Amino acid sequence: MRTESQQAASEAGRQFGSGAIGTSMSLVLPMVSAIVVGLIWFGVVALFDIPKYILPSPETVVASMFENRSALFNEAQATGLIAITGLALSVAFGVPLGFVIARYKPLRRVLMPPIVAIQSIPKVALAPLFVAWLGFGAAPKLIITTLVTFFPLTLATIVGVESITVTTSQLARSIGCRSFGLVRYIWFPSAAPYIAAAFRTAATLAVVGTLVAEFVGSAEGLGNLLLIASGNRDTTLAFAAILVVAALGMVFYGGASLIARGATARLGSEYMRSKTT
Amino acid sequence: MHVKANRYLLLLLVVMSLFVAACGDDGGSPTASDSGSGELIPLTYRLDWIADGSHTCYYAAEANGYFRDEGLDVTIREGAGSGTAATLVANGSDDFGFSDAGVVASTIDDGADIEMVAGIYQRNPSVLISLTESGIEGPEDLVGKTVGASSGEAPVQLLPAYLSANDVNPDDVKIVNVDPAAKPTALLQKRVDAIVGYSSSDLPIVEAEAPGKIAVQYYADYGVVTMSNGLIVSRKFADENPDAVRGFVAAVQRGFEFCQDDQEAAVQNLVDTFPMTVNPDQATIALREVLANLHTERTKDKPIGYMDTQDWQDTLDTLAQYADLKDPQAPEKYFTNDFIE
Amino acid sequence: MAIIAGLLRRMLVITVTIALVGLVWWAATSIWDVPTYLIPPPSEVWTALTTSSSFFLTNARVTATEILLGLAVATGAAVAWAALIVSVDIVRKAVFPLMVVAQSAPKEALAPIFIIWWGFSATPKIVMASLIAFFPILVATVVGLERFTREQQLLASSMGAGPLRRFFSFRIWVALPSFLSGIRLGVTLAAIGAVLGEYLGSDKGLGYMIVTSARQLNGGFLYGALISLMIMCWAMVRAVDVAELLLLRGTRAGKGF
Repeated sequence: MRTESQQAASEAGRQFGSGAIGTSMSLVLPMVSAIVVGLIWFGVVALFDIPKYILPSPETVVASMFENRSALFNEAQATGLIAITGLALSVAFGVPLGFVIARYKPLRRVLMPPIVAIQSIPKVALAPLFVAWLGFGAAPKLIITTLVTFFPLTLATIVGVESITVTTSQLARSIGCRSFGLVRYIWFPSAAPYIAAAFRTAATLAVVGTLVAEFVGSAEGLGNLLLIASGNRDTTLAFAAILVVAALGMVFYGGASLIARGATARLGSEYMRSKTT
Repeated sequence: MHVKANRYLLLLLVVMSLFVAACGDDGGSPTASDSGSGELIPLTYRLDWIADGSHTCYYAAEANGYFRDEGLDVTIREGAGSGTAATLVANGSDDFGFSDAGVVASTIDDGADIEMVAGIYQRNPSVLISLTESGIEGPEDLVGKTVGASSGEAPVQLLPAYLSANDVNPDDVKIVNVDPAAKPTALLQKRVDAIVGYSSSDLPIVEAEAPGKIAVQYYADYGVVTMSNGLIVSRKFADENPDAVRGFVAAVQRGFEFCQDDQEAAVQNLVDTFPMTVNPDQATIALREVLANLHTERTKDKPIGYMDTQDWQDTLDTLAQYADLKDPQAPEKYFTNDFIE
Repeated sequence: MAIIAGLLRRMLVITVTIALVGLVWWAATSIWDVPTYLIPPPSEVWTALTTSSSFFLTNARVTATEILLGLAVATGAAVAWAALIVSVDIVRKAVFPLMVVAQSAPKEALAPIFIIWWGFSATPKIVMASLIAFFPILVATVVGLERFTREQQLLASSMGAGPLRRFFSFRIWVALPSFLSGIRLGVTLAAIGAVLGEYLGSDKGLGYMIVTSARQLNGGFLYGALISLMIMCWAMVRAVDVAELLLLRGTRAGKGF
């Protein structure tokens, strides 16, 4: 069991390659594929003579990005700030919730149905309720972002804890491991690779979640810019905004990977540390 | 582990291509028509939004067989915005559409070969809606206030025009983007001081919910004269099927005449068509507003749908100044009265 | 007998929970003067659900079909890509980051384009559902497949399994728990995608009901549609739980090695 989770943990870290060759390759290859995608995009627009209100060509989008760089940067900052705060909130809320649900089995039956049920509703569909209850400040955006991101973390924590075999738990108890120790030395290390994977998913979801929150109602942020751009039928600026959102998501994903790797290494058991290094 | 991967690669590629194929082939083309009864010409008509009271008269025309009388079998399709309707007509997915003049103009400037063949909302339907208790009685009362709006709608694009025309600096009014579905709630729950919207789609919802507590300012009464929605068609289709276009416009005119004669019956017909989604109170108000916006001063003695060149010129001038329309062409590029009897 | 007793007890717990929630809900709406378009009293929702049950069912069926098809497409694509990613290093390095970018692009923004391409048919909803559900399933499957250790691989080889058998008879089973947790996430995300697709342009489905009733301040219908959606998704997630129970019972015996 240990070896498996340890491998998954190191795998989680390896996603953004380590080692000189790995790093350069993991930088070059995505660029190559990005360029390929860009070329296909360019080719499709040119070949099928697609009007710009359906799909603008990549070079006009890049030009628009450059032209509006300060606006895009400012809005990205606004969106990023909400996304980071929302992500932090959902880690602080989602992971402990997962441990609690995993620890007290009956809670699972009571809590999971409503949690799953709430997850299945697109938050945009609840826009009138959010607006009515929370208005237009940072609060509704943080709440929507947290609602969108905490579920993968909770689910991963539960799955991670449940991956611990009964024998391991019994062994730990028999050598005197009590609740805190059990969580710290058995549960967390076992759940860590799962949480790490979920954290990366949650990080990209946080950006999308903030954007959805800005769709619901807002006066700033990339979502707001995107709405205004598509409202003004400025498809080019809309695509520029989408690309910036995607880039922001990538930054979040990369950052989350680094944090996840650091945290698994630091908070993992001695055993795991000896194996990962 | 990576050496003998080739065989699975092949397998996986096959699997993936199957999925891609599965994705691709159930795209029911929107042009596929579902009926071809008799001699009737099958046509589609794309609304600007989900069917509501503002569309009462088209459904009346359909229910009363006016399209059939013209030899047409028209399928009315619900929509997702003026822009979508204009694009779907431009790319041939739908034959007719119902779309805002500003959207139509900028779509045409983007290269779409479409034109407006009948003006329906000729008097500007944009309104500023507030609760009477907040005491907003004109543009000057909006200074320092927050206005909820859904981005891209004509009412928010024209808000600066409404404010400037009445000596209010647009920068003194804060605009918040609100999801269209949340706009009525935002106003009723006082999360914003006012909302902007259409007299035929936003006003009915709040007025039916809080009758007597709603204050409305029509942009048209404050010097913003732009035309809004009308029937659109692609020039190609109009060139090839002039009689079908003429017949369609005539049937819609009869639908509106029926509405004018008997509002109650027209609304009842709509409610019968959409028993689950149309609210009769809202539909009644919507129809009242639609009928009030059919003509401008210049077209009040003309048939329904007939558009005046000067009205179009005023519309284009205003849009060029305040909205996203960049150097508009001559009015004749955007509309024609050729199909109006 | 014990099973029946357990089932009955569980039903009782569910009934009591629902009754309690309903009671609190009813009390809240009658104590505070909440407008019915924000929170209608349960009775109003009940009336909407019962008097228009066939309308709700028709629309729920539309949405359920979109969710399941979207999930199927997402799962198929995710599993195929995951297998590629874990077996071919260059694919991981070249494509995975790109998928992350695609993942964080807002699909909502694509909805108008989808409508232009596919109209109001089910296709844009299925595409939206699969786009949103794809990535978490992919990540979960990759993580699961990575759990296949060198020791397990050697063991499988020592039993005479070739690369194909190693993959299909061993590695897949090791990946299963993680994969299924990905599917569980995928179900709810596919639901979001399908409803979002309907929300942004459709003439049927629960998302259509949500957008029309929310806009027209019809609280009974809005909550009825939301509740129908929640029940549907909960049932789908439960179905995954049952599948997990059945599948993993099979592997525990196999895992004895």
